[in-house]
Amino acid sequence: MSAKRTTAAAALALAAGLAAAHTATDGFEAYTLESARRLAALRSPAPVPGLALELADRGPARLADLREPVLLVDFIYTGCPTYCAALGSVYARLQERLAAEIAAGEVRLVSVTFDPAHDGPAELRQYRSRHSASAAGWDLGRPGREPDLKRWLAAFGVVVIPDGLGGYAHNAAVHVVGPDRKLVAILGLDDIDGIVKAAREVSGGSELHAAMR
Amino acid sequence: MRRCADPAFAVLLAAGLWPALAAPPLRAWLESSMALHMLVQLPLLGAIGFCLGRAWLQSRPGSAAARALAGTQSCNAGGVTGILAASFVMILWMLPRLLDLARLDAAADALKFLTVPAAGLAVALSWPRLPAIARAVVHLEVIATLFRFGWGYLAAEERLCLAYLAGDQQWTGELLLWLGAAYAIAVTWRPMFGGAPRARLA
Repeated sequence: MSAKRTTAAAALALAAGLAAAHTATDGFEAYTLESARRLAALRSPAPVPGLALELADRGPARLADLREPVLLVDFIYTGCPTYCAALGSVYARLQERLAAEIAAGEVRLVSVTFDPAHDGPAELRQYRSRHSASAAGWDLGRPGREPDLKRWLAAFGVVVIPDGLGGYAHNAAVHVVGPDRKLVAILGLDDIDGIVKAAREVSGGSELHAAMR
Repeated sequence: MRRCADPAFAVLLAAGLWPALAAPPLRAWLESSMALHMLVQLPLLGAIGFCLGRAWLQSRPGSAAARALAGTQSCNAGGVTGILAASFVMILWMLPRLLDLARLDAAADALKFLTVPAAGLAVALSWPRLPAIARAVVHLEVIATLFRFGWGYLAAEERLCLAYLAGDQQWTGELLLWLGAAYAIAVTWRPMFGGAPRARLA
């Protein structure tokens, strides 16, 4: 039982513990999964796979078929009483604020439902018309089948859980997908200015990281 | 605790309870709620390791187990190393991100099933060696941690865990606060109110 061995072992335990904590929290910055995925999108944008969607307006399409450089993607379900109403009004406002970019074909809003069983094209169009008078630049779609839905959610880091009241709880946010089809930023619903700025920066081709910092 | 030190009982407990906790039905149920995950599953896993540690301390002198014990404890004078390692493990698994990861990712969950019992084992090996003052410090830190996490989860304005609902989070925070209070009372009761009545006035 030597004091020297203990000191060495304790120092090792301390170092290992701190290293583990550092790794587990992305350098003591992300203590929640949500902040971790937002940080990951900024620091190391991952490509979004070529996902299939059934658009409410135009039928089946793939992510690659959408020509606009910047896609603002969110996840909704139309039966949602709270979050998604907020998301809907956020998207309506983004439609207004980014009207020029939308008209120029640089930005497209995409709302994806994670409840494809209940949200068909009609329900999705109804959801949009509840929040906005215009359909310009705002696509809504549902993943074709169950495996597609899982791939969509996994690609964007969206976690959906039942809320015990017949609805769902999920980490609602606006996901910015750039021209190279990488997820470059995830922004909160209350940060409309930030979303508009990010959309403009990414479509303008300038370094998003510099703009976001 | 005495039964815990019986090697046969401890091994039986570990051999029976650990796989049961790891098996899909019980694991899914215990991880379905934040309160169950943090306040039932984690302590049970820690207790398994703790009992194994206590049994290990009782190993027959001269046996292989006793030799292994001596080797391990040579790095653990005053119980410092063990308590340090165990503290990191327990605090990390109480973080929202790691609770989520354990629930959503099987590999992370497996890591938890290995490290938390190991932490319990480390506590069992280290506690008897801790001087009284160090024990008091550990008690204070446990109480502080329970209150910190409890308040953090209770007062947070948003859902911190993606796998759990807001109501669950608040309930867990409340339970942590109660647990902290109960722990504080438990460790201060005897020094304050208990003990043999030696100094009774005649």
